[in-house]
Amino acid sequence: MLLKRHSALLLFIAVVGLCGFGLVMLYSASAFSRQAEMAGDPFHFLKTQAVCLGLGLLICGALSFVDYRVWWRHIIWIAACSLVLLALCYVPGVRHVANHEARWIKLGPFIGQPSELAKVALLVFLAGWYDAMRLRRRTFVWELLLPGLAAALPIGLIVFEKDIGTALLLALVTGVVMFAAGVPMRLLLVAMVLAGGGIGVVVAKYPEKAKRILVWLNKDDPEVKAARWQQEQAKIALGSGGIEGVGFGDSRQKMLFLPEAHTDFIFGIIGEELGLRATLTVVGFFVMFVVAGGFIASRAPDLNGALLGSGAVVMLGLQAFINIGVVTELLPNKGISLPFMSAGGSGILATLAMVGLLVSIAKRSEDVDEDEVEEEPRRARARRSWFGGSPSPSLPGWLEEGHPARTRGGAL
Amino acid sequence: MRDNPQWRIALAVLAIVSGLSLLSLRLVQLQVVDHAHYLERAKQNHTFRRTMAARRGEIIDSRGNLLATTVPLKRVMADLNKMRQLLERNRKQSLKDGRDRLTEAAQVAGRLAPALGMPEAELARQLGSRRDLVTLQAELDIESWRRISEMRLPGIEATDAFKRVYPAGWLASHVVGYVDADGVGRGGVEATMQDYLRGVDGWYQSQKDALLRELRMYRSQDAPPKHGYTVVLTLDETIQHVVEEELDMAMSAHRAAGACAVVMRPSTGEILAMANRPTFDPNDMDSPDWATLRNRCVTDPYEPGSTFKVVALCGALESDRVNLDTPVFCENGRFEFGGFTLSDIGSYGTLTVRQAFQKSSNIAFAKLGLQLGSRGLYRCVRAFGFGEEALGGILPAEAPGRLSPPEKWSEVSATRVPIGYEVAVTPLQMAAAYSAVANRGVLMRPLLIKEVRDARGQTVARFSPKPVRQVVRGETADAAIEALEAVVSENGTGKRAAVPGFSVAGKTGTTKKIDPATKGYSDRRYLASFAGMVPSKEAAFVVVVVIDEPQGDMYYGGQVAGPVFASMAARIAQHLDLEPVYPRAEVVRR
Repeated sequence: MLLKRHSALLLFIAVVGLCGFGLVMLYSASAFSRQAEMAGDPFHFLKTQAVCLGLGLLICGALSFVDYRVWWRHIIWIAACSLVLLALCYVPGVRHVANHEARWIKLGPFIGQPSELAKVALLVFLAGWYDAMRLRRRTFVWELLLPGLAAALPIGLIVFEKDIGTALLLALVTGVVMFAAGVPMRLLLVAMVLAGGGIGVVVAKYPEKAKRILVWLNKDDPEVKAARWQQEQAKIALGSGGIEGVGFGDSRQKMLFLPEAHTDFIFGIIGEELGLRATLTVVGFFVMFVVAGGFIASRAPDLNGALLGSGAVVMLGLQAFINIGVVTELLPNKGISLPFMSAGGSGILATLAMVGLLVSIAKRSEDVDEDEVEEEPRRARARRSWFGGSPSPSLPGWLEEGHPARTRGGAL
Repeated sequence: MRDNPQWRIALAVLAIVSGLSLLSLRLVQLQVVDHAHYLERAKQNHTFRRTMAARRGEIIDSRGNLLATTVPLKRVMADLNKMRQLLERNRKQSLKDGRDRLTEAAQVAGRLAPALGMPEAELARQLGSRRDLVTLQAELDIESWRRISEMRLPGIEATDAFKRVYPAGWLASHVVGYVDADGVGRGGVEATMQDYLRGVDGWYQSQKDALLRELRMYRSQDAPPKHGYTVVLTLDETIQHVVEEELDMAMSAHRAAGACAVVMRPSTGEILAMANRPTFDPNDMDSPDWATLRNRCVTDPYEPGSTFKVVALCGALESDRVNLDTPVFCENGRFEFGGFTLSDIGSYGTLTVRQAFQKSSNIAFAKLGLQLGSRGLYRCVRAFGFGEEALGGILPAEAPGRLSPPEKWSEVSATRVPIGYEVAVTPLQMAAAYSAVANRGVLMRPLLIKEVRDARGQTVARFSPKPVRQVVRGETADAAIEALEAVVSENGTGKRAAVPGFSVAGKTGTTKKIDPATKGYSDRRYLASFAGMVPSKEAAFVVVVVIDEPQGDMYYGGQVAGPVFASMAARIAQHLDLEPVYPRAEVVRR
């Protein structure tokens, strides 16, 4: 019952905990990084990250006050905007290449990662699409082909930026949202076959990326050993931390042994400095976030909210899983950052935007509680005020046949 | 119609939560089960131990002149990573404020090249390499480095290094020795006193980042180096210089194959000079001629010839059956004994022992040897220190000489040993034996190292003069000196060894060398030697000079080695501030 009543509060605690702890650890992990050394300021990343966090919290707050359904109405603009930004990654002069990956754009002093905006846009699109398709017959074209092609646009752009990790994440999240939306299993199987074909094409086109995956499987090859340097160093960081950790600020692996100590591999530094206690706490916070977010999604007032919420939860949960999986060498090195904690402005903004959407959903579902029958009149009143329909006592109103919410946003 | 999405959402959440739980198990595995393994790997990553080289001690002569020293240098390196970064930063700042800064590696090379004395193109090539760290100059003097460090060039750094330097060059090089490329003593005192000289390297344990830069805040166990001890030799650089200069002159005058000389203070056994030709410069040991490295004074025994007669003389006088005036029949120059013929330079009849010594009659001393007997002779030779190392380990590869025990002697041995054949001695042993005569019969242990001082100048060990034994009575020694004085008189073989203004006692020696082709004594290859002391009473120094294979008409010890002795002795006496004494007879003659 605690979860049902206070899922938004638990979500908030998890997010604040992760962000606050992440900021502290980010300072420790980045103070000795080469970039900080070049900038001549050990607080370089702390300052940037703090500014981004503040901005993200503002966005989060703003989004929580705005009805999440608004975004579907403007999906054309949102989608166009994110696709254009993604396309800018191919424009010389604007694109910004780092580590041989062209996933950033540079506008004036600002460097951003358009794929982060694409994550949010894709979620808004998928949730709105299936909400709009709710009453249609389940056909291959409307259920799978059209949304699949639409999702393939940003994913394709991201693939050719050589950011395979993010592309795979988005494909996976798209699949989960489709599953949650009730797309029949046989159609999902077809989607998987198509996605498999897509991966085949990618592997053929980028053999060095394929190697990166094969590297992870073949552990004894000397070349492979060199390629797994980052993950080896991350394991050394985690393992040497033990239960207690070497002490806050005393990480040695951050002394350039772990190359991405403040971004993708910050979890390794957390493990080294503060030990198993801290790493399990972080994992616990993510579990709390996912469970609380899941409750919010499942109790959303409409299918749009349910899919948007579950999509955001799955997106961030998967991201955390993949990142920690990479750091602990359960998964191949992908270049996925740890939500809330890794340095990276656009990542933080997108993550907190998703949290804002979740809060917005939570706020709009807090009166829709089927267990509290005695509050029926107020609930009904409230629902009427949002959807203008009459609910059934057992199901959220939007699941009822003829509910006005079903026709909302069906402009496509 | 759609079914309830709630269970599908729950399923997705459940999948992620179980994934995260799996990660928790993995974390427990890494951080608890494999903790020790990764702790070790981390230690390998971060910790390192570095030694700080101790400065090798100096070698100085008894008056404090530097013979060997170690100068600190800088090894200049370029941290290319750092340089690239700093240049990049300079570029950015220059773009901002428009000021001129170093932005290209080539510019750094341009500034650095003249200071390092390297061609700019070569330097630019090294600075442009893709490596992290390159050594630009392994040995740069401190002053040049100071100028470079004032330029504040990005990424140009230096570490301490040392170089062994011999300020006196070839002077006393055989005694001082040399060091190899690793700074380990390989010759002379450098080798034998290695443990005193080298000091103890310091070390520290610290941690590094991935670019091998030290993280000083994690430094632990910092042990500073203990610098090496200073070794004070008994040598006197001035005397050494005199001796070497005279040897050089003798070498060129007689086109000799080699030469060596030892100067010793009889009262203490201190070696004041020890020199050899050919010689070498220990500063330049890149491709040494190994033959020149030999310290012939201690490594090369030679048959001493007539200079050895003083031993037989002392033995005979000590036996009390003979004094300086005892007549000896010299067989008119040919003495048949044991199937061999021994001959003198002149055909002498009956001579006193003094005259026989003065004329260097082989026959007379063969007879004294026979009178002494092989055992008595052997005892006497051994008592003077022959047949064993004189210094005993202070110089490397010291030879004990060659002296067979009397059981192995042939019938004629007792006639050969007194005249310095069938016995091989080193010039140092000879100097010690003459010092024993000069020191009223007391043999002193040869002393080369006076003391050892620590880096602050405190004496750590002092080597004081050590009498070995009373070889002969004082009166015997006095009589021997009287005979030695006669040699350097107008009628003696060593008249050219006379030093104006000083009384000299000494003995000439001319040895036929063994011809390697015939394995017999050669008639063309000689060793000319002279051993003597100044002044004859209470001698201040003893000099032994050996000239190896003098070419030309002159090959007698008195002709070749005598004058060398005389000029050395005159200059040494002047250096030691000896008061000239004019014997009355000489004054009258003038």
